[in-house]
Amino acid sequence: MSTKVAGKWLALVLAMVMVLLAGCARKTEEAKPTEPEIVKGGTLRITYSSDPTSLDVHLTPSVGLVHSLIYDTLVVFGPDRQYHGHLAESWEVGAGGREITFYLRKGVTFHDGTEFDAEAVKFNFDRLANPDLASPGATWLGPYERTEVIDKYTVKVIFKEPYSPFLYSLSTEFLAIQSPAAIQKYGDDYGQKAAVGTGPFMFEAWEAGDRITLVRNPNYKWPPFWYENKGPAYFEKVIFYNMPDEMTRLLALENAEIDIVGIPTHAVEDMKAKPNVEVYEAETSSVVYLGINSSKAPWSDARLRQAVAHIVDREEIVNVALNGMGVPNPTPISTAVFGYEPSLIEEVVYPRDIERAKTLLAEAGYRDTDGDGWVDKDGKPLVLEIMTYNSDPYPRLAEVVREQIIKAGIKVKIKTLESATLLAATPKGEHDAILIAYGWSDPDILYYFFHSSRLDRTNRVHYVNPQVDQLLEKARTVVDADERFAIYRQIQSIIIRDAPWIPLYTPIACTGVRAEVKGFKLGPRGAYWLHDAYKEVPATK
Amino acid sequence: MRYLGTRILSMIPVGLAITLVVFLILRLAPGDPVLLLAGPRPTPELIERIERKWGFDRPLHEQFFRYVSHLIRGDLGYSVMQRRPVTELIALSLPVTLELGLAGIGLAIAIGIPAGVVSAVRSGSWVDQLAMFASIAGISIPGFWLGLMLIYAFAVRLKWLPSSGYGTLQHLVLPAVALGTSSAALLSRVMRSSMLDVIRRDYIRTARAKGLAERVVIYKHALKNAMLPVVTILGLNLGYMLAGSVVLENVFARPGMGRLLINGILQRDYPVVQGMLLMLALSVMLANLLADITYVFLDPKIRFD
Repeated sequence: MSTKVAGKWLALVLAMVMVLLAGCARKTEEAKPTEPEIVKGGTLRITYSSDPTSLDVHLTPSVGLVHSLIYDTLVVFGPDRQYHGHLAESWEVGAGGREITFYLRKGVTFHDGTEFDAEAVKFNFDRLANPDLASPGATWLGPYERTEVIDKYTVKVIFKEPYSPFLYSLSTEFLAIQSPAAIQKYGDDYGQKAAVGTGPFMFEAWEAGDRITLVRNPNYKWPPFWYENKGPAYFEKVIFYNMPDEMTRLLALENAEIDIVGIPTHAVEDMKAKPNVEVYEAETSSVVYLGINSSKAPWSDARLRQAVAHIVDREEIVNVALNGMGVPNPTPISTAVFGYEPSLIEEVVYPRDIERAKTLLAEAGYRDTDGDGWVDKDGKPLVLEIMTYNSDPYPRLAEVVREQIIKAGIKVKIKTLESATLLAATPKGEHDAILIAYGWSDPDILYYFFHSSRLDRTNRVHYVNPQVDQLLEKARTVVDADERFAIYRQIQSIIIRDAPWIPLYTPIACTGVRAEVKGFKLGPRGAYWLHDAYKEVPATK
Repeated sequence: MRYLGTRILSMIPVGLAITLVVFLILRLAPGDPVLLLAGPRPTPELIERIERKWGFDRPLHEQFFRYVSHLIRGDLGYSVMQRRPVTELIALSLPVTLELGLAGIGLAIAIGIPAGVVSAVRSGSWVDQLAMFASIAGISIPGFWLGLMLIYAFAVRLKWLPSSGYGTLQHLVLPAVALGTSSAALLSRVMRSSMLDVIRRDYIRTARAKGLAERVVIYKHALKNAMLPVVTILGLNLGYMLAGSVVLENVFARPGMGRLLINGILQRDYPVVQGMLLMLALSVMLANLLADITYVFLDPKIRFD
């Protein structure tokens, strides 16, 4: 081959290479603006305000985001507000609601390498139900009898009687599945020095009082269906920092030392104005209500309670006391929870009507006889003493409620108390009224608030109504969703009429997230959905 | 030395008395850990199980004697809400609080004493007036507010220091300033008035008449004698420092004893609160003992008998 020919060949090859290179360069240039690149790695920093009791979900009275990242549940609550399979791919209800058979997902492993199977489910439920463990989460199992292993991936849970709230229970971390091998291995240290689940993050360290560190589970490939990311989480680490002071948390968010912080209502406007912070809002599963003691005179007279129900102005409460961070809600179930029934508002809720309120007071014998502006009966004025929490926003809320109620000539006293003291005071039944909140994602909770068997505990308004008792008992055994809904509708209608509770609003939870965190979502119950989230590399300052 | 021995031994009955009082007050306070532990839907069976498990179903005197018998063996019990031994929790949080306390006291001494001396020596001058104005401000400003302002200025605006957290020296600066400021202010005032008092004494006039340099008069003769009330204040101030650190540990998110105590109280975590208060009482007693010992070195008229 002459050098001339070789030169030609060389030129041709070089030209081809250059074309190829140019093509490549073109491609990456084009790809950039259309599809933002997902950055893998980095650390997500979150705060918590006091240490969890344990990372063992069978030993803690409350569960949170930490638990939900370490563990998976059999069932999840999806963006469509329906229950979907997760570690259980599907289930069948049998024996009139007394039995549920779960068909489990295959190929799932715990962080310690052991396999998730029917035995693991049985181990967890049996342990939770064990009286010797005195587990705070045991109530979530309802009338649990036992769990039967059908085969390696099929398991049957059997109840003493049908238990309709069980799907909700299964979607909470209280019934999440922990590694049986790890629980046996670590003994008393499990939950404090180790926590082993099947979730997207693995426990690394817990410096008590200071921080909890989780690292990515590289083998995770079973996120719930709504995520676009089907593999392991994008973040390398998640660190939870213990920051009890609200102001400190907000400053740390502003200062980019923390990525996600819950925002109190009074700071929402401020945080929305910050350029580097995105504020996400979600209706919570809570209801803030004025509960009136229905067993103590004079408030045992339903007409007096109904008069108060006619007076309260929920729009004003939400706007004045909460900067609009709430949804007026006159029903006892949150606007975000199964069982919420807006048609009840037209049908049974007492419209705002001060004249009607005064008429009801007069029917009960309370009139302004001495012309001092306050109603009285037998020379005694009508007084409503409201106990409420001493923390934000309750004192402010109570002031607004008082200003409304006194317009009908009822005297109102406010007593602010620390939460443990307030809750301990209600079983005695010496109080007039409480202004507090509850958060729950299933209407079965009404059983605890209004059933007469709960008078010494959570029936804080001392409400007794045999018809409601009977309906509440029936509702927990009805598995069919429509039938269940109808019963809870009836229960709510009676409660709104009798007015032991005057529900006020459902709070909106606000979450502040650093703008460089992309793909963050809030679930329908305000849960942080993190599996699609990643952090853009911040521009250099 | 016998005096010292008696002093140390006398701490035992005081500690026991404190334990008993705290034990009773906690149980008389409304609310209890069982309810908090049982979650939002307590059933009677669950309450019973928890009470039995933690021994809360026993009569009070039995619970107390059991607690004391464990205490004697150095066992402070087991946290109900944190499921860890109280001794472990204290061991984790004590260094955090001690670090802040020492830094705060160090700062108070380093600023307060020189400021007080200079103010006294140059009494009436602009330096004195400035220092005394600053000290009034220092005493009046609440620590938590100062802390938040410091975070805003030095962390959020200037970005020199981290806003909160624990671990490095940088994390210590802001809380130490927030904690030490009011003590420094108080110390400087006490130092000043004590110094003024001493400077007018005869022996100072004698020292000056001997022809000693003014520096020697002030630092050798006057300062040493003027220190006694300052040491007393420092000793008493330790209790205040601990109280101040409770608030500041919250503001600066430091995992110290103050925060452990506050959480313990809010959660009615009896073993934690008992253990923490006992530790706090002991440290206040120790600080006062230390102040008493310091007197001996400062004033030869005072002696242990």
